[in-house]
Amino acid sequence: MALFLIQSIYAQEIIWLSNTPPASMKDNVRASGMHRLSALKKGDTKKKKVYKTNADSTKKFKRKKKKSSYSSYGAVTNYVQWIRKGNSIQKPAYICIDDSTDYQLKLISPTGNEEKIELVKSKNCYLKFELNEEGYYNAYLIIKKAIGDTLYINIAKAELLSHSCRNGHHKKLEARPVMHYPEITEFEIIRERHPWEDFHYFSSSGEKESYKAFYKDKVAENVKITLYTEKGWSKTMHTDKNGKVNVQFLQDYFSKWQELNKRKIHYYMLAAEYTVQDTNEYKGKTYPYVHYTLTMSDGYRPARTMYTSMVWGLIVFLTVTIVSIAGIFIYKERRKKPYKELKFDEH
Amino acid sequence: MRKLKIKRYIDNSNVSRFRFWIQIISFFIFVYGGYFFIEIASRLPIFSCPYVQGSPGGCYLIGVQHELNTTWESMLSFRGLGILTSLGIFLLFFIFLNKAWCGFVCPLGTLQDWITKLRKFLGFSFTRYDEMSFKRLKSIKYILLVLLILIPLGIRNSFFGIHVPHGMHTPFCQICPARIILPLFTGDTSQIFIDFTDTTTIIMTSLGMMIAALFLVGSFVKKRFFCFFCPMSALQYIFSKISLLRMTKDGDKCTRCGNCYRVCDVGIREIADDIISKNIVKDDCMLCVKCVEACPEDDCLKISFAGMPIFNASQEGFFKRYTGSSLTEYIKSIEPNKENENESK
Amino acid sequence: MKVNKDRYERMKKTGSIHYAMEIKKNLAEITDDFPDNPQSMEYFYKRFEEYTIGNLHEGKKVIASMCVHVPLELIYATGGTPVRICAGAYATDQIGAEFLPAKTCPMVKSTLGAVYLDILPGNIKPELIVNPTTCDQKKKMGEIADEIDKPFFTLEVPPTKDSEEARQYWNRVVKKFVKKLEQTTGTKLTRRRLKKAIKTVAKAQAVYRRFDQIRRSAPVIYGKDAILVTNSYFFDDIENWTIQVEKLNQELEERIKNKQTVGKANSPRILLTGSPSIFPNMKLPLLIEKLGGIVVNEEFCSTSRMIWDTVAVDEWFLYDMVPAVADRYLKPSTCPNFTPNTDRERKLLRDIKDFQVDGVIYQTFTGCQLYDMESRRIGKILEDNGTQTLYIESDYNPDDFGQLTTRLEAFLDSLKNKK
Repeated sequence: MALFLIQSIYAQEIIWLSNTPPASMKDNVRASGMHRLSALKKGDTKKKKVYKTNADSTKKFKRKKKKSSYSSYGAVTNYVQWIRKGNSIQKPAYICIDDSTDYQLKLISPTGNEEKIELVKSKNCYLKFELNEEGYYNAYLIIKKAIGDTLYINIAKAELLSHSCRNGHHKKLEARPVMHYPEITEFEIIRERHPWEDFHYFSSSGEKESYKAFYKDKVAENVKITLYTEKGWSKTMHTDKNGKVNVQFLQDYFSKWQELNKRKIHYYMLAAEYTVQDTNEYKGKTYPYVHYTLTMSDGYRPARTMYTSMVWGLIVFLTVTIVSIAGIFIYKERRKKPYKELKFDEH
Repeated sequence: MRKLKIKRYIDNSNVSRFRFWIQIISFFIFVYGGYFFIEIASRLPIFSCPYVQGSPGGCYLIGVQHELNTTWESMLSFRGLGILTSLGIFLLFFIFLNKAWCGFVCPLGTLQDWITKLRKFLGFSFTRYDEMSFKRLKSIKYILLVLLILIPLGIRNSFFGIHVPHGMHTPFCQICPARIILPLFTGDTSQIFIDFTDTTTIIMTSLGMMIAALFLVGSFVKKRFFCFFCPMSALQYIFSKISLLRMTKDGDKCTRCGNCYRVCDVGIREIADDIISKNIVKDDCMLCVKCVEACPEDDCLKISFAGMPIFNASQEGFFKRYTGSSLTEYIKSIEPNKENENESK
Repeated sequence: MKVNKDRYERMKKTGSIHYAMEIKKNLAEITDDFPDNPQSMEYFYKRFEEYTIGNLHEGKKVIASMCVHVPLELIYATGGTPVRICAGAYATDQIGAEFLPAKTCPMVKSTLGAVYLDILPGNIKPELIVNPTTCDQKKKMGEIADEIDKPFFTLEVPPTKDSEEARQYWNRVVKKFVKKLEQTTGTKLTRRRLKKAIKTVAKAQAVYRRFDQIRRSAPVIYGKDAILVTNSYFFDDIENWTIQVEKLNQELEERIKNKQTVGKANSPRILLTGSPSIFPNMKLPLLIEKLGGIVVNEEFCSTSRMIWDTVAVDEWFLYDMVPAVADRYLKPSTCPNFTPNTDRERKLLRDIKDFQVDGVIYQTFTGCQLYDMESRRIGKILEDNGTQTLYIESDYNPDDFGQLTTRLEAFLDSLKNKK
């Protein structure tokens, strides 16, 4: 009973990695590539003054801004993820990790190499890293804490798909592999890939996704998983005997087509909690229980059906087909000028 | 001088039949190859469309449109090197086959040849552009090529204060019939759509649908209808002279009989009338080699690879291909009848 | 010209006799004055012996043609049998002179005379006489058709062949011609028939090209015999002709193997060009070869120009086959009736190279303006090429024999000395 209480108190402090920058950093961050991953603009450390005195200076500022924007394209791109706390996605609580906390950062490339990731603590606190390979990177922030006889391990995970169409599409088939790393974290959740996925895949509203929980390389049954969306919806599920939960993102976005932004990303966050009775050693002490909290955030876009129409496509296609056939027929008929009226019977 | 046996065999062979099978094989590779874990390369000089699920490669045009969707400044950085690298990859593939990529490999070209076969099966006659229209329409592919370079640049940069809307990214792919039609062969109908996001996307996707329809109707009445407007063809022609595969013409041997022009799918007049140029590969040419097959003058038209002759025009080959049998076979077949006839007289 | 029946009968009788005599005499010269004629030539000699007595193509619908612009494939495909009636006989030339001015081309006069008197090769009875408008004489000859009551059909040949307009025009003319043929023979043009006709003619072309190739590689046959071979293409059944030329080819190849050549090693190799030598007008080639030259090639509309060029079709349908056939009779033609006619220059230069020609003899018939007018330009081009050229103006009258002998002797001697 006591255990449950502590657990529920701790659950309030879900820590997760988010792609959405805090308001204060918005100007220094850009959305990079097809998957709109947050990346730093070059020279973001210098603060820019915002003139608001009169219209002239605003213009000047705008021109200046335009010149500086996108200037970092082509150079090394620093991608960032923000550390957030709490289960509200709309009202983000951006936090930082102080040095007293026991934390660990990991970034694994699609080919399984460990790559550099660092915690930057300036005015804003974020994780900074580079994505040089094509495919899914896994980023982990693991925080360990011992309370009573339980070891609490908070894993904030992000699956980041790195792809730029400008680099070509030759490794198309390698977009899919699902990687999980028991040597980094014994408990892990991965999003299952659809068979048709490629580097351009992005979840969309209405889409069904499934997530699979692992513990020590085996599927973990009955894991409590809660899904929080930007719109404020939440749903708690438990994994089945295959360690899976199925999620369908609600198609709750209805607007006129002129107002619909097909590139708008709606974020969601997934939090899983799992307690195991397994002796663990931590800082010289043994703990009979381990409580894992794993978070993972990603986004989805409006469904294609909300802004495209196959029927209209077919209508245009068929109309043009019929009109052009008729046009050719009429043209040929009208060209029956002298001597052309002599037609041969092919049979 | 007697020709080598192998050379004679090749010169007498029916390359069109060989081409037909090569086209089928390459169509399957470039549309379904991905399903069999075949990966060739991106930046190919053909419409190996990345929108096709099973495509084992990528068309250079989509690559160049993506790459040029960048600022001037970053083009001077190592991004520029990337642009040059992919041009290099394109050229690396291109120099081997020259425009034969169009005639032998391109899946969209193959599709048009199949539509032509269908038309022939149904017994409809084809049309040809008259001389004036041919000259006038010829430039469209160059205009498309220039646009597909300038529009992506215009998205990230401003030309005299004009910014191209982002909806115009990869503008040629949006209107390219390969994007809409080739995925249908893998059962993927998702490219048939009108995108109602904004006015730009509505216009571009509608244009795409229209051009796809015109593609089907056009290639039914005209051989290689789309190739005449293909910006890839224009791009290839710029580099055609450095290619290893060449087609040359010996004007002295030409009688200007026009056989080559008659069989030319794209209707190049110069092939028959030009008796001065040695290199006879024109911008619309796709090196399908039908003209060489139709040329009855020994060594008048020649296909060579890096100076090595591959396929030459020959009298013997011409008569074999066009009459379907060798002379001795023919004589044997008509001789008995004729003898009977003469005796009965 | 109205003549009474008696006079016509008299004319026909005497004309026929003169004609038969002329043929016999000329044929004897061809066969008897030369030793060691190829065995396979017997067939061709026989064809010409039967020239006046036989009943050629009996029961078939014969379409008579002139010049090289009449699409033979279309005639075959509409159930007709083409016979080219361009004539070389002095006997009929004199008859023709009753209709046309004395200075008219003898070939036109001779042909007209033959048509008028109905003494055509093999005594054919043509259903239609196709008369292409290749030169002024031909055009005006066509106008006499009504007068002599013969079924003439004017095939309009454009004055130029390079322009697209000319091509379109010619294509239309050919279409119209097909309709006329269909009416005449009562047989419709079909895909299958035309395809077969194209292939049949192509086989004859293939066999002729082999013959040509043999003449290039070694002097194993006299020009006078070669001219007879191509001349018999005028009227012979095309399949028979193909078989016989193939037999001749095989014999000639044997001769190449046995090094059984004609003439001597230093015999000048002559190319004939200009107005065509048509049997029995074999004056020029016979004289040359009697004087020790060898005619290795003839750039005549009665020889290579008639058979050489091929038809290529992309789609075996009438919409493509008919224009393909039409193009073949226009585009590669080197007839001087076209302007510009640079293709003839190029063809001559090519032939001079391919046949290792020592000298060119340019024959012009009296009154043949087109060849006459082109002779200066061609002469200059040949001179620039370093080829000696002899220009000869002649007609069907055997009177100039002596004068010709002198000139040819001198020319051949100079070529021999050069060799």
